[in-house]
Amino acid sequence: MYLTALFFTSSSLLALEISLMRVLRVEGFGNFTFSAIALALTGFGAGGTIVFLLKKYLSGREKTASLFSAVIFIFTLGLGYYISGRISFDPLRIIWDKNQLFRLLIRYFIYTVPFIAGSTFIVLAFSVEKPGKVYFYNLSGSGLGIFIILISLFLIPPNRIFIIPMSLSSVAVILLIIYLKPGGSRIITFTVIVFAGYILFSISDINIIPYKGLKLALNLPDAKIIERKLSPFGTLEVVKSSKIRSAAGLSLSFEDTLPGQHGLYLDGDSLSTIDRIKSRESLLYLRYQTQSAVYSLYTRPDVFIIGLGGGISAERALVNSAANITVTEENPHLPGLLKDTFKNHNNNFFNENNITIIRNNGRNYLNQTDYRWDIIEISETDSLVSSVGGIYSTDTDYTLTVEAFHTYLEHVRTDGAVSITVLLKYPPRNILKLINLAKHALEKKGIEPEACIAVIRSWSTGTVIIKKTPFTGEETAKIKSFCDRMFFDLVYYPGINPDEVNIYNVVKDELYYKSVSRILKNDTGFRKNYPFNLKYPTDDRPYFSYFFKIKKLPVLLKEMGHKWILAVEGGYVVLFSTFIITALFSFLLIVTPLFFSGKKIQGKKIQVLLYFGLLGISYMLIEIVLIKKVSKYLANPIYSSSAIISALLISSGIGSYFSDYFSTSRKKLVSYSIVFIAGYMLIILLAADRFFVSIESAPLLVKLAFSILIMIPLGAAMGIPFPSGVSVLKNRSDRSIPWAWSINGYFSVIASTGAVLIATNIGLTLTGIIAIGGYICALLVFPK
Amino acid sequence: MGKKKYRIFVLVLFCLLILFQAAGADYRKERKRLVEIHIIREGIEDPLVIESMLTVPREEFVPDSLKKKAYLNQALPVGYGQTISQPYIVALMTELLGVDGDDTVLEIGTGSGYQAAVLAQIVKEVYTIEIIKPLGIKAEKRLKRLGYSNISSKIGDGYFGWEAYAPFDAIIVTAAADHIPPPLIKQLKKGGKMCIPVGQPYFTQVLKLLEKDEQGKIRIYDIIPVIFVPFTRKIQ
Repeated sequence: MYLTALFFTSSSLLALEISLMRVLRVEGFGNFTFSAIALALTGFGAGGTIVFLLKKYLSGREKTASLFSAVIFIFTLGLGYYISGRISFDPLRIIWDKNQLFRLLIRYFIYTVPFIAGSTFIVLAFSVEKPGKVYFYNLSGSGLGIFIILISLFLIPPNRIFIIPMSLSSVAVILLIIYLKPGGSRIITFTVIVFAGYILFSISDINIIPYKGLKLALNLPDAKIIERKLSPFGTLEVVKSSKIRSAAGLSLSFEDTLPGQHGLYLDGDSLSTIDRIKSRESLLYLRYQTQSAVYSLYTRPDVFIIGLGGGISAERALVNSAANITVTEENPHLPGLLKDTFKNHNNNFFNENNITIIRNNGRNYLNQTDYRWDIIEISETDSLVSSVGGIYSTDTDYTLTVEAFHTYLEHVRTDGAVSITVLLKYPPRNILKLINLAKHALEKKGIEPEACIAVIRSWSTGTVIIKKTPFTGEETAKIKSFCDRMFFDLVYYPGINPDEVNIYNVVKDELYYKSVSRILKNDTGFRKNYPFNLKYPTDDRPYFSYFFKIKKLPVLLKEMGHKWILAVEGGYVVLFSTFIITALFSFLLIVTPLFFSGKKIQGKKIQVLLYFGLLGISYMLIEIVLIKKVSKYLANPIYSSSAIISALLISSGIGSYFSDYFSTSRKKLVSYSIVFIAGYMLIILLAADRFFVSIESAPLLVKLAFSILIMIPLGAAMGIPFPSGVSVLKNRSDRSIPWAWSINGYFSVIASTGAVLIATNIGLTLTGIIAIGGYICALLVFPK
Repeated sequence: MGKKKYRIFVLVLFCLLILFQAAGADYRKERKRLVEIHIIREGIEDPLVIESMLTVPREEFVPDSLKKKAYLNQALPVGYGQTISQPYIVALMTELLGVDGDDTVLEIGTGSGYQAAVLAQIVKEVYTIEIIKPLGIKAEKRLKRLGYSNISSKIGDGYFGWEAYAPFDAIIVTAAADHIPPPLIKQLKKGGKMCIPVGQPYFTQVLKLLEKDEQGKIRIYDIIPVIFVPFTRKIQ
């Protein structure tokens, strides 16, 4: 019963982590979401520190203290969320307003307390039960938590999602009450649960920051939400208002009016619009955007579009006389919204025209077919969203990598083209990186990039057209004519004349033309000296939105000031700061017990520190590398995170459970498991791509099952070193078990941030190899 | 007794008057300091703009709770997710329009009314449109109270401009947009200028200047990047 309660507490902790992530994202915490989660997770380690410091007092009262911790967990979860909803935090205002920093710190603290309480219960359990068993219930419970929360994201809106961790932890408390029969305290516990439940149920809405797209739209006089769909991809909301109008980079030569539009929002951020279509004439405005340039090259082309969004790209293809249109979309609700819910609004447009919508990731779908198209377009939904400054800088994006471009080029006909549009960032960087990426993809295929790339821009968007064969004179003439009609600027085409650039949308020093020309002429000095990272992304380093160059930080600070750094590449700066802060904070909490305990820690302290620290780092690095790698095949980070984390945790739990039953010495067992981890991980790093490619066409469930199966042996082996180390400490009556737990927890948190920082710079494979090295080093310092 | 009461009343009134005067003088002092440090030193040269910035009482356009911050060179919240722009940006946008006493200007996004007031000091007529009703009503009352008789305001959708008074010598758009509304381009006089910030509601935006030449041909110039500084504090 006690261990089952531990199981539910562990599951609620993981469910809480994911819930918190969802709520902060919807609220608009921006770049600080990651740091809030990372700091909250230091609570895992802090639980160990507390138990260590109170060891004397808690001795013999572990079970009662467990109940107390579980109750505190529920109480602080409910109350904390209630209070945090009343302490608004504005992530951008922090640049100017010190008061925001104070609010942020309070929010961090509020989020950390439940994790401290929950982890205290887990650490206490190590004193009561066998380490292998405790670790088993802890990890398998965590795995279940992930699984439950993933299903819940389909059913429960973000403002109510905390009910899940709340319910799971309530089960834990009820089990403990039944088991411990605490008498009078039963009533208190019951009251606390009812109180916390009341708080949660009384929450009506998340306090979304007022300048998020959805919130701004709802300020419009006649605006109202007319549709809401939930999924792990986020909450989709459709807003109806006669005042919503969007057409990024619309040509100044367009003199008509836009059609009525509904606004489409994902977690409160503007995603796209849904056009009201009376006839095809309603959509003529779409011809007046830079995205239409590619259509001037073809008559009745076959078009493949990655990303449906609100259907704008498909509409544009049709209004530009496309013969057939195939669109891929991952979000399960978008096709239904366009084909069914809003079919009257769009006049059945998506049912009656030659538009095929496929629920799949675009790149995966292309890998499964031999069909060739005239045009492949990365829709604005996919490319423009990733243009938002800094927020997605460390998100993996397998749509914009050298390998992805090869797939696109293989799937366009001989004279076909790939077209990608981005919102131009200031200072220029995303379009330059895109061109560098296209250049490398073409070079790797033995194609001369200078002859096969054309770039145009409006006042806010830039479009890159990439061909397999050189642009003909006729084709460049068509692009020039298109730009002339639309008042768009030519940035580059083979044989461009400097007199032709910077005519309608004038920028200082012909910045775009000069930069693009230098990139295409292989001017490595330019890339090296440019203040932003323009290195082409690959599948091993799939970070298109990562522009930060640490070496150039002093230059940027000097030229732009600290306010601008946060505004330009805030995501990475916050991530980096988080890493430093969590490292310092963790160090402090690891050292504190030593300071207070004097010489009370027996055995070799450094050895304990290194062993459990290295295990924490290596486990987390492997987990993150695998999530990122598998997300390429499952085509969604949410699916891959859930599958990998659940599989690894549950199988680690099983591994740890059986570790108590092996008759070999602990050291030998750990040696075998680490050798296995190293070998297995190497195989995954070097050969997993081949396995996964062979099942790419399989249904999602099969791919999920396959990913989970692959992880089970690895996870089982990864579950052995930690409880084995704890067993050794326990056998010698070492008081440092809670301390070991803290160390492991802290280093895991540091590694979760560190892994992203490392992978963005050296790639996923090398990060995985570092993790293997970490395990081997841990073996060398195994406690005796 | 009656006389004594009357004297006390006059004395209190007098003291209050001095206090108000002193506060007014303080604001004037702060305004002057702001204009010298953040407007003139930062490169604004147009004497009409400088004079206007020295005249318009920004403290009247911010919520009472933020009056103390009225002369910081930063944007401040006015409610509904909207802000009163940073003084330097107001001055820059006004200077970019290159307007004088004979001109009529259309402003899209009245907000607090501060930008309209700054323009009204310089030009013949200002027409301003606000889409958010409570903001528009407040601004209209405020501008009337402050005696700006050459400002006409209305609640409505600025996307379509103000056909009845078109064409305009200059148009100023104070809200960031992802495209320039075609009706506004039509309502801009040949030889006229339009100033508009472009970008996403997060992070950097670029201030753009659109010029329509005598032949009706349009050019857009990137001026400077600006940071949209949203404030979420509730307005009392």
